[in-house]
Amino acid sequence: MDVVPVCHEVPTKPIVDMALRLTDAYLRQQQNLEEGVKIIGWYTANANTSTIETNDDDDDIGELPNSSACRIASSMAENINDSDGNGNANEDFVLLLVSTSRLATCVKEDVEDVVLPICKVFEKDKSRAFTLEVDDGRVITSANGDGGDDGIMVGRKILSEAMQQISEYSVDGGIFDFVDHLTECGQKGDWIENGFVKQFVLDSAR
Amino acid sequence: ITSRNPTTNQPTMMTTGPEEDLPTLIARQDHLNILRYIRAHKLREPRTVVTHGELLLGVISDDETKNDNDDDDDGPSVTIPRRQRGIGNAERLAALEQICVASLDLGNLPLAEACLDAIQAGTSSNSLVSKESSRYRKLLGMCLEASGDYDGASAVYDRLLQDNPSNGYASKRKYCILAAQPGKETEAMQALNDYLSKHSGDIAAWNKMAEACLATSDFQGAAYCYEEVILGCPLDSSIHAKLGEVYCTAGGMANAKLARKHLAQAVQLDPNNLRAWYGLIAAAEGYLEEVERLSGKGRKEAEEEGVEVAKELIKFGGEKLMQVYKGTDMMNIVERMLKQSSELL
Repeated sequence: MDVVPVCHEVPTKPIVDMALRLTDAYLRQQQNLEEGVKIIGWYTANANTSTIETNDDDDDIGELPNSSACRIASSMAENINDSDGNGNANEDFVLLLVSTSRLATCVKEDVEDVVLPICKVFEKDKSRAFTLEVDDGRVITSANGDGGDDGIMVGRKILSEAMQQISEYSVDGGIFDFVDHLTECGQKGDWIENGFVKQFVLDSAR
Repeated sequence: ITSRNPTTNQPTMMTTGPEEDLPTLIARQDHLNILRYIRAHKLREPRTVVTHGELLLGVISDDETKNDNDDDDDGPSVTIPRRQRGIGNAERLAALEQICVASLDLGNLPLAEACLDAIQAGTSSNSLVSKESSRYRKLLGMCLEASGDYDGASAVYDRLLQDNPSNGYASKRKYCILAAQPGKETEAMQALNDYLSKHSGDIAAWNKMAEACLATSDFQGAAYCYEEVILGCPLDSSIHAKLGEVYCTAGGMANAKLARKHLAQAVQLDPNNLRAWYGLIAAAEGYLEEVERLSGKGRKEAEEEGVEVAKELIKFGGEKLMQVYKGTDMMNIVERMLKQSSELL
């Protein structure tokens, strides 16, 4: 599975459309090398965050994806067909919310302070809005996956180092999205693959 | 210094400040003029300001409290000498104000508060700045905001507004306090609305309002705001592009036409605006979709000319994109995408 960053502001239709089509074209190009890959979701993060509110089980409650992200996810789910092309809207489309407050824990000095997982998964509810949180039992993350405790430690280490780098402005041309590519007049063409990030993750995991 | 805008050949505003450019001044470690330059050109360079400001004023900051008893851990302590050679009072105050704001930008609260105290304390000969000074109170308000004391900050701004109801700065900060708190989006927009009703010439505020409207999916509202911004910057390609994108997102025949118009204007103003080129293609396609949706042959025929124009724009945009991406890694996928696009025509 992979993620492609699109924008770091409220998305507009042209931006989403074009990013989608370019990513689609890229996937079809890769199709020759890999099994059928398809677009299954949209990820977002909220600009504002309060401190983590937790209930007794240490789950943070309440943070929902912002309304523009829900809107985008709804329209993408309607429009992206299954790869078998029979015109059915993609029922498995998901909206991933990156928790800004948990991401903030990754900037702390102590790797132990990093709270995983940093994402929550949402799917369509009865009213077709993307505000239904998928329960933890159906989601495999580094926190509950096969990696066990080691998986968690590696995940924390990677996130912590990534955030340190970004916050120290020492990442030159590190991670960039479609809008960065456009603003830089066609430079930063690597917004789909983000090779630097891939390498960083591999290096940090060692 | 007068200079001319290289694109439009219009004279730009007179800027006072040092003749040399910033890298030269930094190489020379000319702290005073570095700060002056940044002030004159209204740059946002908080790290540079703090580094050189501290050197200029001889600031001593203790990052580790080297106390023996650990209970007394107040965090880093900052000392600013009351007098410094080679710098007059007015300059010193201006520098302190500048460093205070820069340190807030970096989240360095101890330094900001030290600056605030130093401003208020004045020099050893006399205390020049009264606590009642509105400029001082502005800074005080910002420090309170940064420390999270929103009620305290609000009180400061309310008093400033009492003293002078047209104090735009105080109203703006009141909006910022609301905008900083999650869950208060509606109240924040209301506060911004109030500000705009009294200061309708503030382009930056219209821009902020447009973003707030976009965040709540109010596209017509966002379009209205960006139209106001365009009144202030009619030759700015990126604003026309943004407005075009908003109209395109809003949908509907009339908006599709406006989208096309503004994106065409954007690429005309700046042929290097890659975002505008993509937007132009998207807007033209959006317009064609709207025409498809029209019921009745008569209405479709009325749009015949528009359809021709839209198809030309898509072709034109496609050619430009291929030009831009020629020889790059992305060329193939852009070509694929454009082929898909032309199949839809």
